[in-house]
Amino acid sequence: MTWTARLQGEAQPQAADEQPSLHLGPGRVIGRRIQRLEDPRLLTGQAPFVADVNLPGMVHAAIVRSPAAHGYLRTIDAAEALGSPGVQAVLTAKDLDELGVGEMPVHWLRPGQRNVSNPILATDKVYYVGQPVAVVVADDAYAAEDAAELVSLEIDPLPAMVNAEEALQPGATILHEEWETNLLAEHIASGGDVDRQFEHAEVVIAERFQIQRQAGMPIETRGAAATYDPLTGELTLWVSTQMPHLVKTDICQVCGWPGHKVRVIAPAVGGGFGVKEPPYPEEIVVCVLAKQLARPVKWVEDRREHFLASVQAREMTWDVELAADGNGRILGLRGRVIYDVGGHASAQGIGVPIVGTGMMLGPYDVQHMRVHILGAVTNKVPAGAYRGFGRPQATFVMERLVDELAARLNLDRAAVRQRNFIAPHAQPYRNALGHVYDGGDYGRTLDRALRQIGYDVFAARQAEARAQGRLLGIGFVTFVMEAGLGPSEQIVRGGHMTGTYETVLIRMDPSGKAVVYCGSSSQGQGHETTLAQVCADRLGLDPERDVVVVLGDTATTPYSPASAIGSRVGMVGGAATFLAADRIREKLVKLTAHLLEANVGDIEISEGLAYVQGSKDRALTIQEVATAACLGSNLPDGMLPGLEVSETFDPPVSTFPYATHAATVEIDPDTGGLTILRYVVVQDCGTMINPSVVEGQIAGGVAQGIGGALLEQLVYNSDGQPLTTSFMDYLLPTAVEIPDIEIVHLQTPAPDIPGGMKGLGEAGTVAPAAVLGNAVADALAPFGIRVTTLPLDPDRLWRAINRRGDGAS
Amino acid sequence: MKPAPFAYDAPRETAQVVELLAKYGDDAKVLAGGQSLIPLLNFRLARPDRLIDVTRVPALSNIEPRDGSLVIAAATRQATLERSALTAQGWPLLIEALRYVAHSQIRALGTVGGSVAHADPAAELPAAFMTLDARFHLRCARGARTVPAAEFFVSYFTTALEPDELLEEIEVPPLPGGTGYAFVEFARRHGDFALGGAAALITLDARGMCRHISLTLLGAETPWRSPQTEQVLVGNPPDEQNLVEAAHAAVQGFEPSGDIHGSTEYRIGLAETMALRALRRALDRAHTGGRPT
Ligand SMILES: Cc1cc2nc3c(=O)[nH]c(=O)nc-3n(C[C@H](O)[C@H](O)[C@H](O)COP(=O)(O)OP(=O)(O)OC[C@H]3O[C@@H](n4cnc5c(N)ncnc54)[C@H](O)[C@@H]3O)c2cc1C
Repeated sequence: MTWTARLQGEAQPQAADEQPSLHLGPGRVIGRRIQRLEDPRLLTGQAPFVADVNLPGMVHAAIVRSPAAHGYLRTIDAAEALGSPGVQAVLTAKDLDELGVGEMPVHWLRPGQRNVSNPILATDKVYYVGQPVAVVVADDAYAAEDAAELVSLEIDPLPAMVNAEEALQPGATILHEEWETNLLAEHIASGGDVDRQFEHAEVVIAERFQIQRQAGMPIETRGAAATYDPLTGELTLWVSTQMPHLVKTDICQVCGWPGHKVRVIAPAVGGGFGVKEPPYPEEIVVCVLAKQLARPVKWVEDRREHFLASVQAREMTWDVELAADGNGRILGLRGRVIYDVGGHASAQGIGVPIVGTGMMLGPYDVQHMRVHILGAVTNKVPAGAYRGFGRPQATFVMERLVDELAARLNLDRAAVRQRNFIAPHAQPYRNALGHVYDGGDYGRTLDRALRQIGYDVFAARQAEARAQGRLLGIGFVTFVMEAGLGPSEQIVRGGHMTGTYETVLIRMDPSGKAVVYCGSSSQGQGHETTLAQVCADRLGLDPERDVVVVLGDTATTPYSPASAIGSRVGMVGGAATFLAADRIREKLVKLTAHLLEANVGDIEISEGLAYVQGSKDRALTIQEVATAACLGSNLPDGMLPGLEVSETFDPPVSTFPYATHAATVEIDPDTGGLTILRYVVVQDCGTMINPSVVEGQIAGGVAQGIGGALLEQLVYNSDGQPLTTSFMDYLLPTAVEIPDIEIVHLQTPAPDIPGGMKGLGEAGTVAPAAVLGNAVADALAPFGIRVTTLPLDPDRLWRAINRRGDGAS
Repeated sequence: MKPAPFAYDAPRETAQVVELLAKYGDDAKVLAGGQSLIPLLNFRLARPDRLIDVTRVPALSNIEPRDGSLVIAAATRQATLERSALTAQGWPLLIEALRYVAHSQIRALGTVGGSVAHADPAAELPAAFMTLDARFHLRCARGARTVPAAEFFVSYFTTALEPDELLEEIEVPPLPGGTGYAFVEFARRHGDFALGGAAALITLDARGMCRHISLTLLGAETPWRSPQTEQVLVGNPPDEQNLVEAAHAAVQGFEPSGDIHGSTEYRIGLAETMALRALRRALDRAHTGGRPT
């Protein structure tokens, strides 16, 4: 895949494309397109992943998983497995109980939520195919798998419940009998007086939308390797995770181990996308076994297991109504969404639909909404985070409604949007649910995107094509998302059991080089590069030669409760780096003034030098100043020696990046095949630390969004058996299916964030389903089809066009 | 996703392969490119005690002309056939079909005979060989036999091969000069197994009437060679109306099974579209003397 980045002069404050060659100093390194510092290591195969951790005496774990979707687990017979060659141990829930190991905590809780923790290995019941039941440890992974087959499970099957809506009907098979319902938790997202709006609405669009089950599908599956030192009592775990510190916290809590004796390392991680957000049972099990066996233990998930045991996402059914006046002014939104939770709550509970619904009104000035969110358990893999976290679904629903509203009133879709957008001067804007936006010009992104894609001439092209029997369509969507959530206090009050601050430690030694320690981890986003750029920018250093960023090791980095989730590392980690580097800078400036006998206000730092403004001959190298600071001699009065600063940044507010995506498509009426002709993104993510990284994030997100719109679907049969357990069945987009992505940047720095960054990582995924849904509806307008169900696969489109069955509607 | 234990043989002679097959029969499996068999082993859906690797037998990797026919030894890599000048000259349909088989990495390992022996209902090569009236030469310790394509494919993933039999060679007869050919298909992604596809050959006579027609649809239990299509067209002018009628006739009795990627109804509709597109393209090429267009 390639993408064209068209950085427009309209970006402010500086045109980031112009590379002021070798200008190091404040404002010169942030915004620059440097190559990613981690790439040589990753691209040459030098970066170690969990699977590369090999220690002397290491043994390998294989997980015995439930073959049944629902049933009572009567007995586990491991006798034969224990006799199999090379087998060291078989572990079950009973053993964990005897060892005093507790349950996996749920990190997102709503009042009245029915489960707050889950067993690590199944106890008396199984709730989905793939649920971990027992663990076999053997000398190698082959022997472990051979023996795992020999563990025999006696399960009394129960009817499977695979539909969340049916799960909430009276008389439905109950999964967790003690709850007496399949409702895990609910929440009403409400603001204003929406029913009043519907009373006097001239138009009401009522629709049911169904979004299919998908998952993040990182190229590297999960994995964990642990070693325990009986002499010191120290345990080290390497784990493929987005949240090493939270994994450590959970291990300590679940196993009752002291934090100072547990070290968790996220080495190179090959993609996370939310799948690797929660701590998982296998990670705890590997630690417990390493301690019990006093041998290093490794488990690497295979792809089939990944389809059976790593969180899945996105599945929701919406029944919603949109009220408007006769001019297309939106008055209110109300309805209900049923979220398919899977067998039990994942760490994220019903957080996904809550976050999605929270920003559903997006860029529109509408003060009335009520959406009832219901999370129902079903006999499927637990559902959790996937890049976008509810926003792609909510955006699909809202933006399809807006297009339908325009169609009903025979108004131009762009005009209806412009009529409803929040005016730039109405910012900061408080939305119906109380989120306060931090500025933005939504109309400008829409105008710019439509200009880029040629909206004004498209109708003529479309009519011409239709005359030849060809189906062309255009779709566009403007959205605002809440990114890099904060402050911690508010997030924790909202039910999320972790704060959202970030602490960054910067150390400079006598060489004048800087090491940045951050508790987040990286799964390919380029955090090493972007944090190095922020640090280098403040300190007049070269990000490639003078800065190293250390991530993801709990022994060396500051505690980070949220780590690499929620589009937050560039923004929150970036801001903490910005502040910490500024404090180092302040000290360097003061010390330089002292050493050069100049005024503090006259000292500048850039190009690796500290000098008196305007007279570069009165200069010291950063190395000389750093040496002085570290030696601790000849310091000004009151200054302590050393160059080590730690800063915690707890975002006072969330940021609200926004974008417009637009696409044109062609549908072959005889095959139902869809080709994306063009895809345009106009994105404002505040200050761009590195436009190339921004574009990579957007392009990857758009590709995932396109996959979700057109290809990807996790399917279960009525017995709860998964039918998609390999990449032959679960279709990810490849380079061939993804068009060039044309990216235009706007830059409105976030007012409340040092550095001005807004969250970005998830943004690309938010709009594609909605954009393509709108484009397909437009292409198929002559057939009177309503696009309400994903994915938009060829069978569905062909049926719609050929009027067989219910097709797309 | 680790295979159950198995023994492994890598003989250098066809005779040794046949001997081993005779000795182990049902307990052994031929391993060719491994592009279908290895995933089955890794999922433990197949667990043979023994694999007999045929890709080390030089005689089984070869493409040669024989009495005007094309003879492809079974373990010839798909990529080798794709780049064979001899094939391009006389049997370009095979090359057009191969372009739809998976991705180049897989074709570099996958063999021609492996695809035929595996008999996936959506595989391209079986449909192409059916269209070309290929003959399959089989060998076992009990002797050798030749099975025409029309009798070779028995059902889903099932062929006329006995457990102790080796597919040795595939023989493709020559085509009359000026035969137009086409292979078309539609898949959800580039390189995926097809949702629908068709292979067609059209030979015109001096008056421009259809002299010989061969059309095969893929996706049903076995490659679906449609006699009705041949009836509609042979002896008649290949005008658009007749092509439409022939494509419609092609799907009479065609029964693809539906799955999560496409219903039976959709696959039938798609097959008709593919049949029409294949016939149109083959006709264009028949008009230009059978050359690639
Ligand atoms: C991702 C992916 C996508 C694919 N997409 C396609 C596609 O679009 N179209 C398509 O047609 N194929 C596709 N394939 C399959 C590919 O073409 C395989 O190469 C082919 O099906 C089997 O050939 P092989 O040489 O790899 O055989 P193997 O996998 O080694 O063997 C397959 C079977 O044939 C038997 N066998 C092999 N050779 C002989 C012989 N000489 N005599 C007797 N029995 C034999 C084996 O015992 C085994 O049962 C795909 C494969 C992959 C991995």
